[in-house]
Amino acid sequence: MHAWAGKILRVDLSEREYDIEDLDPYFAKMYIGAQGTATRILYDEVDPTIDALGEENKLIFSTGALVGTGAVTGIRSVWAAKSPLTGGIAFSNVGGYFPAEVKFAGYDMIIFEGIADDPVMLWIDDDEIEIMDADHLWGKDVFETEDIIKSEIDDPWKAMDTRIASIGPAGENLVKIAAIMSDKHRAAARCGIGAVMGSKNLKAVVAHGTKDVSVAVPEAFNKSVNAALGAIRASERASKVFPAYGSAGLVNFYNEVGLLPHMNFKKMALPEAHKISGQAVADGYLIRNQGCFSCPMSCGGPAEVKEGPFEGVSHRPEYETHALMGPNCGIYDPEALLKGNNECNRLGIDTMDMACQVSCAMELYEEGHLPESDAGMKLNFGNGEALVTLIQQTAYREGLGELIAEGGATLAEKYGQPDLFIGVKKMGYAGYDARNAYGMALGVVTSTRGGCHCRAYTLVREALAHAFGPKEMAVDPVSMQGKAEMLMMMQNMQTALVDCAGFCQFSMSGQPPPLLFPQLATATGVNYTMPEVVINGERIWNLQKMFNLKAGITKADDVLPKRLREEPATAGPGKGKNPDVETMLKYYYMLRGWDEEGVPTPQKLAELGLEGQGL
Amino acid sequence: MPRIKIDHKKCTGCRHCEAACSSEHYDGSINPKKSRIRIFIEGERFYPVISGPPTDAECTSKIDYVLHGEEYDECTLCRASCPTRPWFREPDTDVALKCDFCGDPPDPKCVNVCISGALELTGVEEEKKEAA
Repeated sequence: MHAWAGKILRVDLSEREYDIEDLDPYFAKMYIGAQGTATRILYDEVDPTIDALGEENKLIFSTGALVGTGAVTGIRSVWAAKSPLTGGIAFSNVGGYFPAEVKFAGYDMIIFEGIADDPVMLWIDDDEIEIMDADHLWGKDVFETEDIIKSEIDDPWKAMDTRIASIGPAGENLVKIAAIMSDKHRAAARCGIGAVMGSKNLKAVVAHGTKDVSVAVPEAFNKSVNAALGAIRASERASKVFPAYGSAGLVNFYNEVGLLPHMNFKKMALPEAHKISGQAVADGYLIRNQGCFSCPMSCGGPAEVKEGPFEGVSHRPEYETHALMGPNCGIYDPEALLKGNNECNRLGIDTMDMACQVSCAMELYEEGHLPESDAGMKLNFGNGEALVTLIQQTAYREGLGELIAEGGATLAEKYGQPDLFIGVKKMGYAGYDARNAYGMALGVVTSTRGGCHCRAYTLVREALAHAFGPKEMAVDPVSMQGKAEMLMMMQNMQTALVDCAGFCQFSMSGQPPPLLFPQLATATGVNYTMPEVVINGERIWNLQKMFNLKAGITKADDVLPKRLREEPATAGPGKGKNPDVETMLKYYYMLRGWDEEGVPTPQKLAELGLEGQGL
Repeated sequence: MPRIKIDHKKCTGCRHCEAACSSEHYDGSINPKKSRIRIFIEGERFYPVISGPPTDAECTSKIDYVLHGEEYDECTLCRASCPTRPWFREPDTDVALKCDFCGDPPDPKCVNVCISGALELTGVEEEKKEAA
């Protein structure tokens, strides 16, 4: 096989045994990689009704098809399982160096089954696989864990080429918003995937690989890579703005158009946002920008706060962290943001869900529902030190952290205000206010993994095209017209061609789909057509939907948070209005070939080659 | 003389150069461990190192560099393929690797994929003029 390594490593943690299986070429072609291959294996092997933190859940690491080929930004991969947060399917996307190292060791996927009786870590050194004791690492944070593991490797050169994924105290303590971290600052964050790893007593996965990854038609592949690089070079946004300011370079723009949330989605378009923009972080704190493997856009990078209460070297946060941990918590101090982001990375927590919990706690406090005596501190909006304390408490399930660690509306319910938790399917809402982009409203509601923006980035057309072009792509952000069609197309295509192939969604500002497709086709050598790839995306989407339905997630869960439904927008193109998601949803279900309850019809499933998979 | 000029301050550590180099020298197969350029990564610093002539044995004396206030062993940024470290040697055969500028005229693939500007090919025009 080309691009794919052709092997699956299956690890039974209960028996401390492993098996190496072949990746079936037809399966690879149909499900491509990353969330695609992981979805099908979860669907076939994991009962959606089980306890996500029990022995029957499986934790899957699945690389994108193009990881390691040198395809432009071809590094993205997923950790997948049944989610302890949403109860549905979980797949958390991550880049860095770790996924490529797994591929170079010769594996497309690692499947973890069972539960180890004591803390363990998995060592992968090409064909040498070892399940080792990790007692001495249990309790350590993510940074310490990586440093200790590397210091135990005799050869410093080999240590440098070794990549690690691990959980911090949050994952160990089964915090339902815990992340799996790799390369210290790269997070597979959402869905509480870190808690699944913790429940398996799996502290870390260590990879070192020296094998080749081949591509099917090198000359054509290199040509397609060069074409993509040329397009990125020619794009001011992709080659200049993104490396300089990261995805948070859009904070100011999204604030102006009323998409950036402030104060737990209570306010929008406040002028203070500029203080905490990507530009502010880059100008004041960034040491240098840093890229994932084979990514020229390098949106990450270390940042340093030199003095004061938030002192320390951390990593530049991404837009979502900026939005939710910054303005949405009323925090306009970049130093508090950098510290909060770093504490989440160190302890292994999803910054987005964490921030949604903090903004909820702050509103509960300010509205008088949550007494200061319960919190043990002042929880006013803008309180950066409270943010940091809550993150630490959550990782160790102390104080309010015990409630926050359960995720969703647990904290808000305890204080009688479940609607102050802004989220969908128990997952914290992404940092784009749905009242100013109706396609995104429908997108977050229909995402198969919860309150997530990244299954179809409709803002490319609803917001970015208006300001940065191409103008002919721009659509009215607050019209319902055509949104269901647009969203469905984007979901199908993005799932297969971007996520499963292993491309980074950020790169689409420089390399649009017509430049992605040839890289996938020439690297894998599969005689794909573009429509086939999109249908693969639709098949994967339907399987994820079926998994969720079987897990008990229904139409009643495809709903916007009450605030976004009922409190009108205070600024932006949607000022004075709310999106009517219910109407769009009806049309969306129909377009998808689902019945009125959002259940894929037998005809639709048959059309996708999924006969007999209905409820 | 053609040269590859390295500005480590611009390097973002994306290692696309490693992928491109191995692809060029191994018929399209990608393997950073067989690359003739490696990115030395430590903390927030990235140093591209391009392999030079190989050596049979370890040095008997060494120099320590101080960079940004931190001390580095000479081996860190050494260009030689040397028995003491795995860099610039094929992992399966131990064959030493040396940068060849991807042929003549020079067309280094690492430079082609480097968007950050950390790698730059210089001295080619100058050589053409001299030849003329």
